[in-house]
Amino acid sequence: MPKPKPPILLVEDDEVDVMMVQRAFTRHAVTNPLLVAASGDEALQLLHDPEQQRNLPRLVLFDLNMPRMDGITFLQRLRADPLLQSIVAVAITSSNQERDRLTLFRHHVAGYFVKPVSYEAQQELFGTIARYWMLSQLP
Amino acid sequence: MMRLESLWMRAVTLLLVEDDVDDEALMVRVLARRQPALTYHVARNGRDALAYLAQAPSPPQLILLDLQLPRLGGLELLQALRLEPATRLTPVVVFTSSTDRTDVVTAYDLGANSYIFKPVEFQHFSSVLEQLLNYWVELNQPLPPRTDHLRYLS
Repeated sequence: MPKPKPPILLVEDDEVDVMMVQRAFTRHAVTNPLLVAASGDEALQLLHDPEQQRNLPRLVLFDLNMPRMDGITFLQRLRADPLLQSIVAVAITSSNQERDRLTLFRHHVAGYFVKPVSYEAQQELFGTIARYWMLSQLP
Repeated sequence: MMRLESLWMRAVTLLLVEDDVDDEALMVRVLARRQPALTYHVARNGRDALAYLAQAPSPPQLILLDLQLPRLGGLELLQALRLEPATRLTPVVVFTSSTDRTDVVTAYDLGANSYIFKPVEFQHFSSVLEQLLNYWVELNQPLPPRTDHLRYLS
């Protein structure tokens, strides 16, 4: 039996954005299961769930502006965790901040993307990101 | 009026580190079709790449790195780039025909941002390179430009 496709984890607190990403993946024929966590805490919990260990996500897309744990703290936690430190993590933001970018790249973010305003452009962005990592060999 | 820029090698968006002339020709074909045009520099080996970077007014937005290179291989070059403050955070994508899993793991350990197998067939090669450039050059937000001087030990 072929190994199931590794899931993609989306860390996003806005439900409308979650639906937008789901739709983008369907339209771009991204068939990996999409896991959703509404916060950084929830994402870390999910990644540490023993059930998840057998099929750990190898790509995490996270929103920078989240309540409780912001995206930068989430990435720092990921990188400090021996089990999770090599996961490819991509940051999505609605406001482009230079200072954030430096910190994120220092913590080895695999791309920093500004969410476009138009729905079509958002679909295109998420489709491009997911398809790109399918072409790439993951660590 | 003399332009200061002309005293230096020009700054480019993309640095290709590639010793194979056929692969270079394929990449240049893909790059030539892009609108808006993308500036690039081709280095034939690791030492050429360091020599270019030592004189470039600013680091490129993306470095595409082949692994099998004469005179300072791709992985050694990657290590040198990560030690140098000016290119420590510059996105580096390994674009190579090496499918060796050890190379993949080592490249990520040394700080590569991504690793992509170079397809053999042109249509596929072209589509993969297009997607790679869209991701890293068009959509990814580049790091703020550095204004301090580059100091490479080449």
